[in-house]
Amino acid sequence: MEATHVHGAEHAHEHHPSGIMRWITTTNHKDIGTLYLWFSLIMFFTGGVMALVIRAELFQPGLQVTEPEFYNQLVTMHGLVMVFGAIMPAFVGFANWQIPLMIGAPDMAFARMNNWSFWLLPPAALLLIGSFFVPGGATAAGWTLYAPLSVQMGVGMDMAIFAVHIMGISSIMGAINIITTVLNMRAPGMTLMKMPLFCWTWLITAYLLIAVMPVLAGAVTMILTDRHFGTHFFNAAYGGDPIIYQHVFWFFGHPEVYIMILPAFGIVSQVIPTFARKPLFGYASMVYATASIAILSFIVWAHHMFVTGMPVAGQLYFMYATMLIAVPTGVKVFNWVATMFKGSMTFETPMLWATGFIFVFTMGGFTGLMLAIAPLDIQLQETYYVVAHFHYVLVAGSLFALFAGTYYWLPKWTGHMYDEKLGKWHFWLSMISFNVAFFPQHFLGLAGMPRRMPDYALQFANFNEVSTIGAMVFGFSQLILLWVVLKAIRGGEKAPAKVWEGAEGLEWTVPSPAPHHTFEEPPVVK
Amino acid sequence: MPEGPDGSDPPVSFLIKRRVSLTPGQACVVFLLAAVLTLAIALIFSSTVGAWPILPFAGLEALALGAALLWQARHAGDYERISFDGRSVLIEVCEGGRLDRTEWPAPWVRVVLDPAGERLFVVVPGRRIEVGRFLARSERPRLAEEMRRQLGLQAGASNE
Repeated sequence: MEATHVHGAEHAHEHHPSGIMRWITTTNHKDIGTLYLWFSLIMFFTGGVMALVIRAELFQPGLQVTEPEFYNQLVTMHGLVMVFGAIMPAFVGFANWQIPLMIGAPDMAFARMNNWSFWLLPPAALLLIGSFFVPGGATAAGWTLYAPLSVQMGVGMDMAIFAVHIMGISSIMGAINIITTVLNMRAPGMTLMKMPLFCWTWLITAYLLIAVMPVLAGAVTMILTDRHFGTHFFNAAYGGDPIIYQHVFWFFGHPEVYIMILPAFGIVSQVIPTFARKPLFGYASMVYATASIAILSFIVWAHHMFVTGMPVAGQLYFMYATMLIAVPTGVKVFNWVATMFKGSMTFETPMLWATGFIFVFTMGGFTGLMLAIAPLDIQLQETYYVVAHFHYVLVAGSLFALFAGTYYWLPKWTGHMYDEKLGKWHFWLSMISFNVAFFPQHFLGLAGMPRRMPDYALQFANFNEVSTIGAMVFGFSQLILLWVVLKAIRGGEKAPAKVWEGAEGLEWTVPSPAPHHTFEEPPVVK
Repeated sequence: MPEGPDGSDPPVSFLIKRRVSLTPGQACVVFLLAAVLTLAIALIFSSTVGAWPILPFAGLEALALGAALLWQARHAGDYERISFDGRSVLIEVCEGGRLDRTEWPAPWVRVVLDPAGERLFVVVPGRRIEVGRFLARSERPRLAEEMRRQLGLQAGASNE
């Protein structure tokens, strides 16, 4: 018998393509996670610049910086870029990096499809951003792309529709990958109820994506066929109904809100126990609360349409159903606070972001409850109160949780500790400036200032000045994050495998930075 | 080497299974949970407000999810079995429900681990079959050693 075996060959395995081809052809979940995160950061800054131009225009009454048409394009594209280009891909980036590490899997279930789902995003982003430069400019119908306005716009609208389609395909492929990975590739002993909460929240989010993405695809396709192929889904003159678009869109749109917040809950549920040095309080109730929020998200869509007109019975139903969401959300907030109660807490940057998240997200939740009340919503609809509410949920909620997760896992990704001092500067500047920017918008909304308008009455001037100053500080503070990330990539204090004293989970059993290949030999979870 | 009841060597086999945490039945439930919901939403919109363009997207998506889960379910039972009975080596490779059985005389068989340690082959002159694909890289050398040991024992037994 003859056998060939080179001893130590397994140690010489760390070879993979280098240069640009590494990133184009990669099927490694860590590489693809990195690509997603950089893409979302670029889109975050792109959408952020749009926001700063919007706020610059609103610094004073009158028109100073933009034409009204361009202003509306900026408002629309800011929403589309932030929702589909920044927040959603960032969470998918986190999922790619963390889920295999957390469940003890060597990679995602469909690695090639994972590569495709990322590489669909840059062309979609180019379509979106490129639409500014075509005749008529970008779509200005608002991120909701309401018909009949969206049926009437120029080629920029078609580009936005195709971009939404492409990003939708990417999301669906990502969701299929996450469902199959989480369910089929868990390490021995990693039962569903032992999974880290981040994996649970992403599993439920993936189900939401599978359920509602075809609805969005159908909605924008109907706009497209109304625009170019002679259909009249939304044309009342031919028997169509523009209100149908609102129903269809918000049937997607409300679960979409939870698609952007449930993984944030997951991240915060990882960070808080680590720095409270206690296990998460009420793990099972957290799982059930997440599932409850997801289920409720399907039956509340028309609370976005109280002023569109509906019977009183409908208003009452959607009002109470929406209020019901406060129950599982309250369970979550209670559990986070209970986890911290009597914990040995320290406030490193990730914990600052996580506790900051609870504080400001809860405010966004409360204003959401107020907007759920139909008679109040009818007063506040299309005012800055709504703008303040959803920025408290999506910036202070999703984005702050993303920042918490970034600081929490950055040492695991880069192998170096980040600059704690800069991280704290980033947090405090962002936290203060965010509230300076958005809290006054509640008062503007209560006073009746309409959203999506480049000009306003003089009575709104003072709060708008304050809001713009806050927004500028918030915007430029984000450069600190970029600097912190680049600094950690370039070097710094070496991070150990278990970066945080109180951290639990499989990701902390692999070295920092996490090697290119991990868990080829499955860990056994007890 | 202990002898079997008929005086032959008892078979020794290595069974290597794909690592999965979802049975085909569970995959079916996962698919139904997602597909029924998606298609029901599309059907309701189509039948109540005429928004039929949602249907093809929902159908395509259900197909994609079904294909992904089917692929996984078909491969959930994949295995490799390498059996040594003293005279021959039987290699059974089951992939996607298809079973390939190959039997070679033991004295002709070699075990070859490629220099990078990534691929392990059972080889006879002119042919080779890859085994140990479901193992971690660090486990393949161990399997190679075990198989070589079995071949050595058999060679020793046949020379006695």
